[in-house]
Amino acid sequence: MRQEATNEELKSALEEVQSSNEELQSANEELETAKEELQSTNEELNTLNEELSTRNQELMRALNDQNNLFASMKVAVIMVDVNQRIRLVNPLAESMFNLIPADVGRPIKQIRLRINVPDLERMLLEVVDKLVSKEQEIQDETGHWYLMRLCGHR
Amino acid sequence: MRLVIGISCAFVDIDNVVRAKVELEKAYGFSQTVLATMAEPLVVLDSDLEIVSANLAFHELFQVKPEEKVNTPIYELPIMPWKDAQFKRQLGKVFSEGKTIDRLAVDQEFPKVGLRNLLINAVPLKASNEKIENILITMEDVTELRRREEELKRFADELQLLVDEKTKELQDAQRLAVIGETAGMVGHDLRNPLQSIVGELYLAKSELNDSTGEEMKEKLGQSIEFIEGEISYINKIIADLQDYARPLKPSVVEVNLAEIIESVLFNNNVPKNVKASCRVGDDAEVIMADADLLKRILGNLVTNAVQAMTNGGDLTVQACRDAGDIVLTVEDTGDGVPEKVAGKLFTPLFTTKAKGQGFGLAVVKRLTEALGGSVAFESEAGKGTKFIVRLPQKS
Repeated sequence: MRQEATNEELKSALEEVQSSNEELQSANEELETAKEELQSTNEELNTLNEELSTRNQELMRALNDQNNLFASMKVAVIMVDVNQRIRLVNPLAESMFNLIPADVGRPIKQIRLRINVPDLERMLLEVVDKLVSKEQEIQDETGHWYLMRLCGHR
Repeated sequence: MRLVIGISCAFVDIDNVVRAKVELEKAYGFSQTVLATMAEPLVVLDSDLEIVSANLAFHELFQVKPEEKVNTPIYELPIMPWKDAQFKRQLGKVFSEGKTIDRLAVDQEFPKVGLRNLLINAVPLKASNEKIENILITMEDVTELRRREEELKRFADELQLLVDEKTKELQDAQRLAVIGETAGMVGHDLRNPLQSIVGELYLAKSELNDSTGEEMKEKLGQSIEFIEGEISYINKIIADLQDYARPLKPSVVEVNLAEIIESVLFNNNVPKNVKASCRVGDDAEVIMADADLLKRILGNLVTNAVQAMTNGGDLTVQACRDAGDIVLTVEDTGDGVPEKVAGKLFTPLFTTKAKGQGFGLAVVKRLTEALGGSVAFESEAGKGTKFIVRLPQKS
């Protein structure tokens, strides 16, 4: 009887082992699938990375070209944001208006530009509000003539 | 929603442009003022010969209002000095070839101002690309100038007539005065040979009584020869006086110059120590002149030349044609004309010779001038003298 009972127990234990084994097998299969998915995602990411790197290089080149152009042109340029704070100045504007890198970020009305344009602020506002470009012949304090062109960008 | 995110303020250096513009405006204003105030009418045409602009003087002369004539073809103006097609062609050439019109004389009747003499100039005006775009026509009003010129010419002519007349009167008066003055002198000069003749005749008479036969014949012959010489001297004095005193009416005909020179040299008894030569150019052999006057002119010059060479020398007579004139030269190798008498050489009664009246060269001058010619001389002390007679040949 005892032997019979033990036998029963052994049988059930074997059955359990068998089912565990089956579960493990299925888990293993799932893991295999997941691994494959991950591999493909990784490949996609690699490709994307490469693309981004290329784009980045292109952008760098474009920016470089722009900076070079900006620096070398015989036109003094000051760019301001909608709040009339100085955002960018090219070398010619720096020397013409005696600007320093620290002036970037300051409101343009705080800087004495030594040009005879009393209503520059109003003109800038008009450019922002009405989306128009403005052109005016102006003189600096020594009487030298310039053509001032204000142009809004989007 | 604000669309603008920033503004670029660009400053372009246009100082040169602005200053150039100011200069240009100033220059333009200046030239406009000059054009407006200048007295010469001036008009600018385009390639259709339409008026582009004109100055005040043009508007005034052509009696048009400035605003109504712009873009009018110049041929449609009421007053046109250039109606002929020739002028239109010339204007066309200014455009096509850049050929200027230079001082084209045009006479035009204008209302109020009357007849004007205009000199028209036209020059092409080129654009910066060298293409001819306009013609500038300027008109010089030379009416006043013409009038003055004509007046001046008339005055000059009148003056010339007066001068000629007075000169002739003066010459005649001078000549007559000289004649008066010389009458006494000639009388005195004639007395010398006459007295010699009288003396010789007295001698001859006594020969007739004192001697006979061959001796008498010989002595009388000598006397006659002597008397002949004195008579020919008297003749010369009278001939010179006549040449100088009588009015001259040369009869100019074709004469053989070479023959005349030959005969003059032959008749003048050129002494043996003087070597005479004669060169006549082929084109000067036959000329238009009065043979008689020519003989007297040459005769006087040859006599003078011979007398200037008492110690012998060369006498050269030459003739050639120069610019239509006949040029005769009589050259000697004598002592030359002293500088201080050079100015008086052709003055009547002036002489440096012991036995002479001072008529020779005065006669040469008078006879030459009667033939319309002139006489001059070149002389070098110690080397000789050259008389140059220039006779015009009317063709």
